[in-house]
Amino acid sequence: MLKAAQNYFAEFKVLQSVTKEFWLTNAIIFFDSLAYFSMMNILTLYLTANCGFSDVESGAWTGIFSLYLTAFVFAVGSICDAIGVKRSFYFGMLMLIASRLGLGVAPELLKGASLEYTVKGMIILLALGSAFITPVTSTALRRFTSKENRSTGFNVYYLIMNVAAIFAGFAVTDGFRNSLGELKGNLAILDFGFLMSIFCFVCVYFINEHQVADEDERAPSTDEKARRPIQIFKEVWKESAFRKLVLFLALTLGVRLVFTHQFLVMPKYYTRVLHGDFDLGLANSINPAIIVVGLILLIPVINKYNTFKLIVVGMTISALSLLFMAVPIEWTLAIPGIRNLDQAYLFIIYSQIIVFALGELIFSPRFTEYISVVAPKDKVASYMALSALPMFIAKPINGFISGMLISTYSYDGIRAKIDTGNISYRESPEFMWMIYFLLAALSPFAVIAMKRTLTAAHAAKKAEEAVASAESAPVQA
Amino acid sequence: MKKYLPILKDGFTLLVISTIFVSVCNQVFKGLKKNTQSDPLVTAILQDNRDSAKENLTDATRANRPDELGRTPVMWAAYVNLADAKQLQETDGKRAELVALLAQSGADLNLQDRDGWTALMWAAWSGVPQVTARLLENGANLTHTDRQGNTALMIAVQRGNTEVVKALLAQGADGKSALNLLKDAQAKYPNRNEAYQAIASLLSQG
Repeated sequence: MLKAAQNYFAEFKVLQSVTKEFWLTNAIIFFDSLAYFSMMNILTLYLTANCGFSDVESGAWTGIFSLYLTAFVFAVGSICDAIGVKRSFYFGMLMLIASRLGLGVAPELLKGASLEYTVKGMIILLALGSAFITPVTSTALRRFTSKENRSTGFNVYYLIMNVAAIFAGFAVTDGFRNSLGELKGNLAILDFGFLMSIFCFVCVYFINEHQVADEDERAPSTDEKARRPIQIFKEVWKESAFRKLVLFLALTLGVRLVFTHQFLVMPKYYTRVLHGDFDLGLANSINPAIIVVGLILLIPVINKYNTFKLIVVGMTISALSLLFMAVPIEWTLAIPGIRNLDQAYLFIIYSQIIVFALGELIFSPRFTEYISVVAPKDKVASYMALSALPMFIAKPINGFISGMLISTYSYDGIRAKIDTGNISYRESPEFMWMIYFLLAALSPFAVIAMKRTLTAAHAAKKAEEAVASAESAPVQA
Repeated sequence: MKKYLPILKDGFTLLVISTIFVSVCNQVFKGLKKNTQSDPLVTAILQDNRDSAKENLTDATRANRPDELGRTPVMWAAYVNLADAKQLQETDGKRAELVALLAQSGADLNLQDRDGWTALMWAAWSGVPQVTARLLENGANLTHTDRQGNTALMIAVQRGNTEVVKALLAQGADGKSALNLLKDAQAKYPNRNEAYQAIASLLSQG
């Protein structure tokens, strides 16, 4: 374990030669992730408590935010190459500054329909601004790193993003909500996001985009990644490999959507089965903390195993994590040492978070690998970009469903009724989680059912690569 | 400008597709659930916003309009779920004013929700003595029971809400039935032992 950690950090030595632009980009990632994750932790709560949206509406609008975010990522991917890194950053940041400020002050200044429509408009603007960040930061990192230190550079990026997610939870979310209360705390978190966007804006100002590490990266990318998304989609949709991939991704949505529950369902679930001032930020910090530790210690060990097995094992673990919250709460109360509902709910919540994160750590990186395996060699980037399609469709549907399930099974005040024995299993939050568990449990079964297709594609690709490398190898006398 | 045009066109197409998709989802899901809108009066109450609550309180019908779970605005005013004692106390003071406002506007304090809970039961569970006092002053009934046979006093005893128990006993609530619940509650929540001991002494006196 210690060796794995030493090896992980030893790799960072290659970053001694990177320019200040690389570190400024990482500072932007850190500040923006702090703002993004702290906002996501409270978005549904903010929409309900501060803006008066019902559970159904707040779930729907959190889902709609994700939908527009995914859609705009498709659209702005090619903008960066057209207008440059710095201008793209400026555009994105200006939209983030305006939307985060708008969301932070609107409930104080407006009410009724004007508040509702302003907030909805700001959410769409926020989605557009956030959509700029991912493609622009990855382009910036590509340009500000050389071939030698690029993969380490991206590892640092992933690490920094997760560290920011940890701090966004227990420090920012809980810090503001505990000291200012729910209503003012939520607004302060959004205002904090506005401040972080200004910090990002200042960092962008100091970036010199001509400081490119490799001359090859100076010119706008002409590879397929830079082409327009609709054009790419029209091309690859005709291929049976792509359609199979979409089917596979759709079948595995149940488990992959559990990650979105962290922001859609969990905040309301936590604050309703426990109490309104529950440290939800701390709970949401556990997942990125496990990912960070896992990245350093577990990934090198896990990588030795077969991809298919890892997907099945990881998905099964992640799906099973929901079972903690899906079984009748009386079963949890029967565990020795658990005396009351507070302890029972804390136990199932933390167990679910930890077990899900371990499963996610195993299966999530395998997905990217799988897509690259089934994609034809010249279309890997197109397949990668369009692999978000099932998620694009599922996110808003999940938003609406989550809102409806919460308003039925985890409504505000349900804990009082659970305490006094008025809630049967069929009416309980546990039943809601049983529905989510059954959806998630479909994923590993679907992967097993598609084993032949998946492994055949993998084998064919390997054989093709073996032939290609044999043909290109120098003939020995 | 020519090179940006295809990008803008794609962006606009995706925006239109997303919006159509969202609108379809919205229509489908709206049809599945009767009430997807929140009540601005309840929002004002939960925000402890007296002015906004006053604006929304047009008549007695408005003050008694239940949600899909049968909860009326006064029940919402009597409900607080906070662990922090200081925040709870502050909210209690603000909500007590709202309860008085609702009572003045003609709110029926003895209506019961889907599970048979009254506003007094919500206050008893929440541990808000000022709200409890306002409800009692305005004629809240002590003897109503929920689907499980719990009275407001029984709920306050189980939760270890000493001040609420005191207020209910002072108004003549029957403490005998609640006494049996105390032992079980003490075993479950040893961290509330001090409160339970105080309640035991109140019940034995009463």
